[in-house]
Amino acid sequence: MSCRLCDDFVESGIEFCKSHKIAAKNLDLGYEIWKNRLDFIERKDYLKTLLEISTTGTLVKQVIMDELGEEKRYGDKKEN
Amino acid sequence: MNKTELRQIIGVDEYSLVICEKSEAARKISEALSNNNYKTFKIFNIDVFLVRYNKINYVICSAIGHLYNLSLLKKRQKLPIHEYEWIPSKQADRNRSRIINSRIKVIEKLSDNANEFILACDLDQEGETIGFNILKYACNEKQNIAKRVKFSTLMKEDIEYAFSNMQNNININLAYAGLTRHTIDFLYGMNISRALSRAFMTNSKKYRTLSMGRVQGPTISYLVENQLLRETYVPLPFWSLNTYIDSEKNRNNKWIKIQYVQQKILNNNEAERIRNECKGKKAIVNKIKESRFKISPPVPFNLSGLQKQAFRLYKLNPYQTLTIAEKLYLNALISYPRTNSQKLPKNLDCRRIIRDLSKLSEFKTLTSKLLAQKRILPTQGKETDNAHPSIYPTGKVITSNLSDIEKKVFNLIVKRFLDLFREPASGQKKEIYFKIGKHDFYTSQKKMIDSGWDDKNQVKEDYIEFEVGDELDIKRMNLSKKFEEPVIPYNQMTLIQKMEKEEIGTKSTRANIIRTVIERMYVNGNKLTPTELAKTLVNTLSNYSPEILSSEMTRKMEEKLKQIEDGEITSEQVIENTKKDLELVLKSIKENDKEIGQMLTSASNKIDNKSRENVILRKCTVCLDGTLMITSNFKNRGLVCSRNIKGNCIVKAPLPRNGYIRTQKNGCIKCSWPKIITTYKRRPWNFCSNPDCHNERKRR
Repeated sequence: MSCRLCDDFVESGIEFCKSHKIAAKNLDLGYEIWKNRLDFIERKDYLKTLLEISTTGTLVKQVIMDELGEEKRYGDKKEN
Repeated sequence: MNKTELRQIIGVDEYSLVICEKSEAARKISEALSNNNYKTFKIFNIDVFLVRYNKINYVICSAIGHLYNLSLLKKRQKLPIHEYEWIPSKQADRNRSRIINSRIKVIEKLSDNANEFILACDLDQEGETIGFNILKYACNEKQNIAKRVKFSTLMKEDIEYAFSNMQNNININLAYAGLTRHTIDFLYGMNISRALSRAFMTNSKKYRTLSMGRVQGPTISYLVENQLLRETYVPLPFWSLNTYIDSEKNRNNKWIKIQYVQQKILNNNEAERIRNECKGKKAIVNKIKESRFKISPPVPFNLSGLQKQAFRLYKLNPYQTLTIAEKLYLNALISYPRTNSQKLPKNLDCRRIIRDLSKLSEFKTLTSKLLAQKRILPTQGKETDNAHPSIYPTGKVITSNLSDIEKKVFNLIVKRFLDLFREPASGQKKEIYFKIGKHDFYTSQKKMIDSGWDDKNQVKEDYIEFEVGDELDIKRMNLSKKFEEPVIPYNQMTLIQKMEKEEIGTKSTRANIIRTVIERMYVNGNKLTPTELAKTLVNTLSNYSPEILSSEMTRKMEEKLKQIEDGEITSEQVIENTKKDLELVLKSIKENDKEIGQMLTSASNKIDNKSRENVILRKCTVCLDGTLMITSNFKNRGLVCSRNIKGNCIVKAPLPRNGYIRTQKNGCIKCSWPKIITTYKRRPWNFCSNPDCHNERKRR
């Protein structure tokens, strides 16, 4: 099995490789802090803002793109 | 050549054989002991010097660094490799191998007639190891009867003092510590690198050298960890409130910037509320805190201090600085540079050195000021080194044979030395606190009273005299949203500092290790961004044998080497323990051979398939219009003019696979094609890029 976002080898049943897993975890932790500091922010807006910031990690951006892509696909299916 | 023939060449029957580490050191010692009245002989085309000092004949010969290296006892050994031997160094370069063999032969011949052996190699672990091996193998087991001369500069007085106060033995324990370091590094390198290469080969059916060493492992892991932190970084927002005020007392055209006491406001609404509450109000001076400060002169340079400063000022990497410093030492311009010490020797005649340095026009004013002082007392640092004092200029000022950058480094050392004797800089600091409504703001002002040693901090008089109760108008109030920054990537200097902090490697080896990491393509060039291969290697090893990447293991090893140096444990004990540790690591790699191989193959494929970016050089010397570029894939590189693609220029040529490429401003005299300068390991190679150039063919 390979990681959902790169070719790195992962054991079956695991979605992300070690590095992407850290990126996804940081993204979740970051969302809690962002919500706190802005009093509230929609997850989608949070992700879009992060994509525009140059210092956001490349692996984090890959996880974001994946999440936004998934959301879009899921939304499309729902509409159909 | 037999004994009689040798005696005829040298012309003396009895002599003491002095062994130096480098030929330049041998020449300097000969000059110092004989007042430039020494004889030079060529034996097997190698320079040997004869001097008579204090009624004793000294024959002075030299090595060129390590003449002996570790090698496998049998060519094809199964893992784990435990059998090794010291043999004459084999180099990739045949010429260098030939020179090494000639030097060994010369020392062997000279040792036959010598009645005394004196070691005059550099006074550190490497120097003692080089000398020990020469005395053992080339001089036929003379390591226990050889004497030792100790000096930190190649100045006449120091060398004469060293030869008049010779030690009766070499420091055997120091040599054993050095030999053990080499052995452990050899065992680690050979076993782990081979195990990794084998795992890769079994899986991919291809060969690739995957080197991993005792210090290299943790070093690469620092780079990979840093990169991972940056790649998985999520920036967090904060707000800052910058306020600008103005007063009649302000003689500058600029407004005065004051800051909210809390530099980072961590909530958007709170930041907005503070701004709204301050709107339309005046800033009232609430409190003024005055204090005096003193900036002491800098401490003497040790190697890392010099490397840091040379990197900061001239962008020289640590290896380049070390190479330049060694050249300055061999020219007797400075003391021995591989030192940790930040202290000058107690009996150093500083006034004499300052007087000698006054011959340098750029330091004339400064030296005359210092010489006018009654007492000359240097600032000293904390760090010490048993073998050598800090780096200082010897007072010799003949710099005509130095390049521009070497002169700059020399001047840096001279400037630092002179600054040690100067007065501290002093100044006054004012912290002014303001109230805007109920909120606190502040600003600080500094005024230099005496710039002292610090020439850059000139005395400035732009101090605004506020008084408590002063009311000031707010000109502007900015609320800005900012994001916290990720960790800063390592550069060569900060990586050396990290290695120093973690106590891995030695002052002499750290720069070389970074160079190896770059050469093995574990990082992309000088930016030290780890490649896929480095990431995978660290990932793999952290899963299957994390101890190779641990600083802890390397640090413990350094402690053990120190214990050998102090005679507390033996070299054999440490080597036996290392072999046992290695067996465990190899067992783990062997058990997970398949997984490790898969991961490494995937990383290697990624690198092989990735083409490198084009590097733009300068204007084409043939068409005078297009731009010269280096195009490359993983295996090959080529030089091409941008107009060649459309067939408007003929320049397209292969380039050497390795090394840094530059082009000269002017093209080849014969064919006007671009001339290339490439640097790889040895001195720069200068050639015409045109493969059919007549000039080039002739030279080849």
